[in-house]
Amino acid sequence: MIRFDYQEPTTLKKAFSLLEKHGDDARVIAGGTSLLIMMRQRLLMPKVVISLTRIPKFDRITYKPNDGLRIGAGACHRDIELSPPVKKHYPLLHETFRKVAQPRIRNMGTIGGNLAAGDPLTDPGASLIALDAEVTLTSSKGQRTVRLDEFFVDYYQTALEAGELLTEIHVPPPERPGWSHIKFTPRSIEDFATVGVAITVKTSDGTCEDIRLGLNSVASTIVHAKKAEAVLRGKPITEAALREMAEVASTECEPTDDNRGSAEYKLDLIKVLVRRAAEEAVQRAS
Amino acid sequence: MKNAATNVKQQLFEQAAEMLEANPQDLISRDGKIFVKGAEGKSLTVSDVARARLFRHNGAPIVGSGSFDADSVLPDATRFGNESGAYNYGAQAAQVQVDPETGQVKIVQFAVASDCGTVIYPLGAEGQVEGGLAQGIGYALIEGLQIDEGRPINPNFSDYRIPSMRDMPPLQHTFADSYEPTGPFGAKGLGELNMDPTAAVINNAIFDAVGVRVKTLPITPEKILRALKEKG
Repeated sequence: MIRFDYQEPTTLKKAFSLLEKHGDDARVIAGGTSLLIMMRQRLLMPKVVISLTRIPKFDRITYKPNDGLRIGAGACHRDIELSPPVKKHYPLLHETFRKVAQPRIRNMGTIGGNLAAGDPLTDPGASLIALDAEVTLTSSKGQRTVRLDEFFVDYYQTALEAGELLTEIHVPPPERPGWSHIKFTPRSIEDFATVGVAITVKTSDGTCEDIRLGLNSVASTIVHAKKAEAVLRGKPITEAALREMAEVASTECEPTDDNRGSAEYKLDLIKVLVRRAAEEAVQRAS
Repeated sequence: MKNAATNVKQQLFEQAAEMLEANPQDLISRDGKIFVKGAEGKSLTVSDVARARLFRHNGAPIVGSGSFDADSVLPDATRFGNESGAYNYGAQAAQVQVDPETGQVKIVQFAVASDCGTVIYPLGAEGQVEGGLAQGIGYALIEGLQIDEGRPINPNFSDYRIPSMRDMPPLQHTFADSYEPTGPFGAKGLGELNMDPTAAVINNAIFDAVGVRVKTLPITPEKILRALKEKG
């Protein structure tokens, strides 16, 4: 049994002062689906656990046509999955969140907790990168905005500084109508992805105008495959071009062996799944 | 189960006989009621009798147990024997799709026929078929304890996956019309029957689909893809 003090601040301001007071002894909790597993395994043994669940409007989801989607960090996966503007304007997000674990977990785990954990195996990050998402990091000293692909630094490491909280996720209005999401889970549908692929694309007359490609479960962070995007951007979309893009994507990933498969197998999967996702996205775009 | 139920019935009748001022052997039960043969008008419910037994002086709940051991002969030094008094027979068939680029196996449908003698409780028996098949599919395609320097490295259900409800294929099944003379009401066991042939059935279906045979379990997509590459 880990003994810890439990705090439920009712404002962000109070949360920041608790974070400053306790420093490295404190961990933040929202849904608890990640932190509690770490604590049970004794990987984390915080002296103080600070819950963000009582902060008002921390789970708010709003959409404005010119600004896009703003998701409070405390919104749970299930609420994002079922949000009407998400279903209507961001089908990629709806599809992605629908595939995360199962409803019991989606009703607990929050998007802020998911991203701030920096776990490369989870699904939302890749799709949010494919939609140019950025995150707002707030501290008692102020706010800054970081692109999500720059937020993920290393295995379980993010750009969050001491005393900072991830408070909001901003997804701009969707500019690329074609999309696809592949979560490859051959063991069980309720597994982490062996490889996850999220893609958005805009085409005109058989040419790729713009593209974003995000991957999860393929490296120490969620990957934004910029070199692969550059292969296709501005070029005619041919089967050879899609194959080349998928090939380049595999060079941007550094998967490791685990019980879902060897690194070598995952590289093979990336080449196949990126091509298939691109084909589906291109089809939806036109 | 039958022996336990017989034992419980005897205890119920002993208590009811006192309450009805009759002999236990003259009692019968029907539709949850206990009464003297020919005097159905004056009856007690099973719950009345159980409650009376519990709350009387020196009362106790009615608990019965029973066991059944089929005739069996322990194997001798030459390994000849007869391990069970009643053997099950079963057949399974699977239709699978194999993705040639990823090695992923999708079970399109499964058909199962089981011989468990008399089916006493159909819903429970179907559950045994479905559960056995789920374990068989896990054994065939997913499961395997991994050991590193003497320690299991996948000792939880996050790392050691088993098939979930949503992973189950459409299943058609039927029971053989059969009677096992040594079993209660002609019944025999069912639980593990449907785990036994599943891995072989799935492996044969994969071989039929793509012409490769993986000879170690679990048959992971990675092993299938490697075999497909070697085959060329």
